[in-house]
Amino acid sequence: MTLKDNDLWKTFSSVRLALLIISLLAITSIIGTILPQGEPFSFYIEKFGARNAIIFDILAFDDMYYSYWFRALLIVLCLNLIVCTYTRLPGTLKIIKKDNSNVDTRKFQLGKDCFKFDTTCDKTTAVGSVTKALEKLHLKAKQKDSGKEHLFFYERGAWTRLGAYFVHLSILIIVLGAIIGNIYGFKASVMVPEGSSVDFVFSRDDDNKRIPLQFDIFCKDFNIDYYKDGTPKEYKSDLTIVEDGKEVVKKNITVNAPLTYKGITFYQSSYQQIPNEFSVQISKQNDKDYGGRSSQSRNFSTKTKIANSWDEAQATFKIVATSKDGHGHGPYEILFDDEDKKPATFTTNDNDPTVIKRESGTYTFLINQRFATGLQVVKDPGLWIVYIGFGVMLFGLFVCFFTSHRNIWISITGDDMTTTVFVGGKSNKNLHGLSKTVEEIASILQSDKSLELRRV
Amino acid sequence: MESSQLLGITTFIYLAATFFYVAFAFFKVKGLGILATSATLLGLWVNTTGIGLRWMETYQQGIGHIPLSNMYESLIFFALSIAAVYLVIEHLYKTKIFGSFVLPFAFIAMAYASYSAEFGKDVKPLLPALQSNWLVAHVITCFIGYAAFAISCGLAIYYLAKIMSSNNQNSPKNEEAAIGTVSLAKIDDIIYKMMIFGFIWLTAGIITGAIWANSAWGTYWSWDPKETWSLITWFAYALALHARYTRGWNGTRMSIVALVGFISVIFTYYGVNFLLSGLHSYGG
Ligand code: HEM
Repeated sequence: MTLKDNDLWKTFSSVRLALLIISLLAITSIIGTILPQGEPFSFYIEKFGARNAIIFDILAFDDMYYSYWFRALLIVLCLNLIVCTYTRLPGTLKIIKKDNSNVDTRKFQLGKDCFKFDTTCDKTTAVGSVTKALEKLHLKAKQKDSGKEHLFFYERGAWTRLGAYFVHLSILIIVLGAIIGNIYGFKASVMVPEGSSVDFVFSRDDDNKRIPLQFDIFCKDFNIDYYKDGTPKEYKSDLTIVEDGKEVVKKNITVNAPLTYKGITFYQSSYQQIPNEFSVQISKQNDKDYGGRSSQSRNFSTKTKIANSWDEAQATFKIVATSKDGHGHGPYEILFDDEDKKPATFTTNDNDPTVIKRESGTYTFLINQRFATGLQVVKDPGLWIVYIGFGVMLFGLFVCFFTSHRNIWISITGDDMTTTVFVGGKSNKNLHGLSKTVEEIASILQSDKSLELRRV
Repeated sequence: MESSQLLGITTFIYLAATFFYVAFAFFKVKGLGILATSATLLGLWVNTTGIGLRWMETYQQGIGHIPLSNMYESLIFFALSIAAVYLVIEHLYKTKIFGSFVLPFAFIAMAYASYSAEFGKDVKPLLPALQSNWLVAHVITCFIGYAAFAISCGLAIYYLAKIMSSNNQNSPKNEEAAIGTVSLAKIDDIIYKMMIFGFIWLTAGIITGAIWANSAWGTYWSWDPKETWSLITWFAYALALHARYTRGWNGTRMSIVALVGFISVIFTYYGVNFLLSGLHSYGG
């Protein structure tokens, strides 16, 4: 018994199995769109009762897309594709390589795609006319003369019979890319406070295991831009990659514009306010000359109700209170004093420079809530394979549906009295396009005055 | 004039076009056919202008973006795609007989967009995750695909109606007897071609969506209900292609598949937003 007679092999090479598997995939996929996925067991007990919850657990309905049975379906689909391709490809290749010029044009049925004409001109004239007609339509045909018959043969797109194979191959490529990503990649996340760096991230799949990085990722700044109506417009983190003490990459990342370094990509995914931590920048424009400098400034990192002093300017300040604006921080109430010793309170908003006029000079006060940026960290070495699969799939579909394998024969036979011109074609798809071309050739020949064709 | 007014008018033009096509199908008066096509062209033009105007409005409000970012805007684009693809078919196949089964889809999409209270119609700023050219490509490709499926569904209804009213056997080959100007075999062929055309665009839509998701979140596929339903729809049409190719499904069977496939499309597009929860922002 050879492999091809094996029942299992036959099953796996059949399209019937493909229909079954694709149906099963489509139908079972619905379950996971209705039943919430990845919740704890208690959630299902509460919502569906203990018995159902146990059934769900056994059938892995709570995490069905990653369950063994769903993966098994995908594997069967792939095996089906591989076996099916293996059994059918040789036949297709044979068709592609076949020399189609050796046909008996007399066996063609006359109709839309096949015309026959008689003329009293001799063969040589007819051959000349046909050559001209083909040139006019830019069809490069091969020629053969057996003495009895002069044959023009045009063939195009034999390889397009591989279209479906490209589509099927692309599915395998995508699955391969996904598997590689699963095995050799990771998905993780990390919060990086402004002004700090991290050299590890937390795995998302693997119980928050720490994954070390080969470099430091430093967040200089995190910012949210808002539209006028208060909805967020942009989340932006100013990131720097530091490796061996050197800054190697610097980039502002936003949602949809991540940063990739050494195969690891950092996505802007969330943020956090660090409770009760603020950065403050005060600058002073001196009216009097202070040691030759007319302005000076200083940064503080502070909390509420803590007195900060800026000795050089003899200034002190304290955040007395903060309340919440629409975005969760500010306005702030600040108690301020300087060498004039006339304590005063003022209010300021987050990231909103506020000018304070004092006798000793003009201060500008800028306060910012300190944030931590939330990064999604992904390593996916299979990604480019998946993307190649996407490309191959689109290419394959294009080939399947917009190209065809087309053959056109023009045969000229004749004795001393009459010459017969036959124009005919065959195509595996797009029959309409073929008919049009054949008709075009026929009509050019018919309008050729030197030939005087009569349709048979 | 505001875009919403123009788009409201579009609704009525598509309705008028539908009436003209139906009238044409009944009375077979050439003038009615010309009127129907003209109305569709006008509808397409007003629809396009409406979208253009809305695009300008987003800029006037300082939040400029192509209007393809919520349920309302996507429905409008859906209607536009249906009318545009339909006109191409009418031109290619030189028959106006399908109009009465296709234009209602454009009309319903527009009417639903204009008169439903379920979703907002205001020009809204784009959330950070939605600011991506991949998203634009995603929406455009998906909706061209959906439009093709809508048309294949409309023709399938036509096919089934013809079969039922004539009680013929279901093989289109037996029914070369021309109905109007188009044989059942031809309708069957166009239904299939529309499914193929839709399949390619849906594939491109799923792929661009995956690339967008990857650029925003670092995962090209997360089995979110909307993604999953688009895959289910994709499987359904893949099934139809194979059943036709290898088991010779056509005629009535294929028409039913076209119907079921489109129900899946509707569910992917609409049902998921309103019945299930997920990542997609449409419907907000
Ligand atoms: C979801 C998965 C699949 C997709 C998207 C897919 C897609 C396609 C497409 C687009 C075609 C071309 C149809 C045409 O030219 O009209 C095709 C043909 C075909 N498919 Fe699939 N396919 C899938 C799975 C399978 C499987 C698992 C098999 C296994 C037997 C299979 C067997 C075939 C065969 C035999 C053909 C005809 C090939 C030919 O043109 O010679 N397909 N497929």
